Amino acid sequence: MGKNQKKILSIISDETLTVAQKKHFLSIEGENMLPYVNVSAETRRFYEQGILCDLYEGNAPYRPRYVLPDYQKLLENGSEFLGLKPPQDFFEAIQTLLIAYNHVPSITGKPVYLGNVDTLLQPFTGGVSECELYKQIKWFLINIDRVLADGFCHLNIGPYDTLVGRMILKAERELKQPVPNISLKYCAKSTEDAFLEEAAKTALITGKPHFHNHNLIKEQLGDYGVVSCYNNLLIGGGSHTLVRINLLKLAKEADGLEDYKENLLPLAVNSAAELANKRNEFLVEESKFFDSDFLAQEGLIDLDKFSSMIGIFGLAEVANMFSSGKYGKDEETNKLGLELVKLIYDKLTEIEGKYCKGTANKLTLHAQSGISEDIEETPGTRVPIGDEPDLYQHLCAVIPMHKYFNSGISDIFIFDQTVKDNPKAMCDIIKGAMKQGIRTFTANQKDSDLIRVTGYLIKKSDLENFNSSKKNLQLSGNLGAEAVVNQRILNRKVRKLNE
Amino acid sequence: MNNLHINKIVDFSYVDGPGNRLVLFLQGCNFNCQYCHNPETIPERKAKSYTVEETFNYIIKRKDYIAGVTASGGECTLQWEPLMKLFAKLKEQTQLTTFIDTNGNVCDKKMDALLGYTDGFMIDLKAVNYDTHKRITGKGNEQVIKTIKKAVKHNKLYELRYVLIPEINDSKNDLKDLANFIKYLNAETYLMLIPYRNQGVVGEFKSLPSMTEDQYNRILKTMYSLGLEKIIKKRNFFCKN
Ligand code: SF4
Repeated sequence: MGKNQKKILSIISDETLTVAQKKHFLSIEGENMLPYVNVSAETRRFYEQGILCDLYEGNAPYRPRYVLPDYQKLLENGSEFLGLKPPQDFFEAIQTLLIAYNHVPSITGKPVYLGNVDTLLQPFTGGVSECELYKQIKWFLINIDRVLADGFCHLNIGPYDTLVGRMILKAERELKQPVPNISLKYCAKSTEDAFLEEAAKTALITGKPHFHNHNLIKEQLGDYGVVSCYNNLLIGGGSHTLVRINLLKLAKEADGLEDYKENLLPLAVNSAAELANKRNEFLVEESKFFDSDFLAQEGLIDLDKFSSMIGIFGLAEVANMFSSGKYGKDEETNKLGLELVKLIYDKLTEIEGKYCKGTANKLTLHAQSGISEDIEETPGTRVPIGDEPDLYQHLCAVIPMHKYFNSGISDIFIFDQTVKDNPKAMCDIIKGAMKQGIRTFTANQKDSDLIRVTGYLIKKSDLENFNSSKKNLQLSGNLGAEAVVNQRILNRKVRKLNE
Repeated sequence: MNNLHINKIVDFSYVDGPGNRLVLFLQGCNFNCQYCHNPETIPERKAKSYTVEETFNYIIKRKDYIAGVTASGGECTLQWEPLMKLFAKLKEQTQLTTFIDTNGNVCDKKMDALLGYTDGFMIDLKAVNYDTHKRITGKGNEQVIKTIKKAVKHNKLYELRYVLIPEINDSKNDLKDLANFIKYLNAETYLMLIPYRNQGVVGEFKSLPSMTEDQYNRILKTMYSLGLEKIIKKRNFFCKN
C-alpha cells in the first residue's frame, strides 16, 4: 500500500470519527492530490518550516474559508436555487434560515456565520405567543447544535434589546450547549443595561456570548458579522483564506531583537501576504467559486465584500524571549509586544491584498486563537495560561493591542463564582473595557460545564469521550480535547477575591 | 488624621455592594471578635499610609470599570475624617457610588458626618441578644443597633450581615429575635446570612466547628418561614472551588 492509500485507510478505519467527519477528511485528501498553489522559494521555505501555516485549508482552495451570507436579503427575497419564497411568518423564517445554513460553504464544511438572528427574526414575531416563540427558538438552537454540530458556527445578537435576543439568551442558559458560538454586539448608546445583564448571566453559565465593541468594529469595517471563533468580517462578504505566522518559530531564527524586527518580521509578513494572495487568486480565478455558487449568483454574497486574513500567534513567548520581564505582568514586556504588533500592522498595510476589496484592498490582521497542535505558543496576543495578572492589570495589558486586529482578537477573562450572584459586576467590567477600547471581551466562569478552548466551546463530557476514544458529535469536540491536553486550558487563572 | 491607613486594596470585588467595586480595607478595629477573619486589620500598627489625594488618584484610574468604592476593614469608620474627605471628593468629581462596610460600632456624630457622603451601608450585626453580642465581640450592641436604625432612617441600609455561629447565635430564639428585629426596622434591606467557618480563626472560637451546609439550609428554611425569604441574599458559600 502506498503512503497516500495508507493515510486514506487510516481515516476510514478511525473509530473516533463519525461517517460525516470521515467524509470531511477524505475530501481534504482528494484536494491535496493537486499541487500547492505556486509560491516563491522563500515563502515555500517558511511554509514548509511551519513558520507560515494555512491551518490545513488544503492545497487548492475551492470555497472561501469564511462566508457571511446576507441573510436579511434571503428573508426578503427568498432563494431561487433553494426553491424558497420569502417567509411569511416566524415558523417559515426559522425554517428558511435552517435550510440555508446547510448550503453555506466554509473551510469546515459547516456555516461559520448564522446571521444577526435576533434582528432577522424579530419582525416575524407578530401574532405568535411568547410560549410558542420560546419553544421555536429553543428547538432552532437544538437543531443547530445537533445538525450543524460545529463549535465554529457563530450566531450574532444585538446591539438592540429584542424579545428574540432575550429568548436566545434564556434558552442558552437552559440548554448549556457548546454550539452555536454566540456574540453580542455591544454599543453604549443602543444596548440597554438590562439586555447586557441578561447576556452576562448567560455568559456566567455558558461562557457565551462574547461581547464585541460594536462602534469600534463598525467604524473600522462597516456592516460586520462575527464568525467562527470571533472573526470580524463584512456581512455579504467573508475571508478567502487565513494564513498565520508563528511568531515564536520565526523568532528562533533571529539574530537578536533588531534582526527580528528589521529583517525577519517584514519578510514573514511579505511571505504570508504572498501566500494569501496566491490562494485568493486560485479561489477566484481557477475554482471560479464566485461565478458559479448560488450565493454569489443570487447576490447573497459579493466578491467585493471579501478579504483575507493574516493571523499571528505566540506573541507572548516572543515578548518574553526578547525581554527580562513577563508578558502580561511587566510593563516593558507589554510595550515590546505592542511594538511588534504595530510593526506587523504597518507592514501589512503597505501590501496590496488581491481580491480584498472588502477591506480597501488590504489584508486584515487577526490574532489567531491557535489550534490544538500548538504546544509552545499562546494563541494570538493572549497572556499565557497561568501567567495572567489581576483582572485590572490584565485589561490594561491587552486592550492597547485590540485596535490593530481589524479581523478579530479576543482575550479570555476568567471570573470566580462570586460573580454569579452579581452579574452587574461583570457588566461594569465589560462596559469599562469597551470604553477603554477593547474589541472583544470573552468571559469564562470556572465551574462552567462548557470549556472555552480557543474561540469556541466544548463540553467537559466531549473531553472525556475523546480521552476514552469515543465518538463526539462535534468535530470541534475532538479538536478541543486535543487543545486541552496541549495548552493547559483548564489551568486558566481564576479571578478570586482577596488574592 | 489626614491620611488613610490601608491594609489592602482589592481593585475588583463582586461581593461588597452593588456592581463591581473597588474595596479599601482600612486598618484598625474597635471590636475584638472571637472569630475575626482579618485579625491583621485589628491592631492600629502601621499599615501603609496614603493621602486622600493618592487614594483618589488610584481610584480614578480604575473608574471606568467600577460602580463605586466600598470602605471596609477592620473598622473603616475609625478613620472617618479622611474617609469622609475621600468620599466627598468622589461625590464631587465622579459618578461613583460610595459604600461603607461597618461593624456598627460608630458614634452618632461620626455616623452623621459620613451619612452625607455615603450611598449605602453594610452593617454587621453579631447578635441581637446583648449578652451574646458581648460574648462574641467583647462589647455590648446598643451602639450597633443605634447605627442600624440611623442608616434605615436615611434609607441607606443596603445590607445587614449576620454570621451564623453554631451554638452561639443560631438557636431558634436567636433567629426569631433577628427576624423580629428586621421586621421592626421595616427597611428595604438585604439580609446576608453567612455560615461560620473556623478556618483562619485565631480567637477563642477557633475550636468551634464550622457550620455545615445542612445546618445552614435548615436555618435558611426557618428564616423563610419567618417571612424573610424576599430579603435574604443568596450566595453559594459551600461551593467546592
Ligand atoms: S468587627 Fe470585624 S474586623 Fe473587627 S474584630 Fe470583629 S470581625 Fe474582626
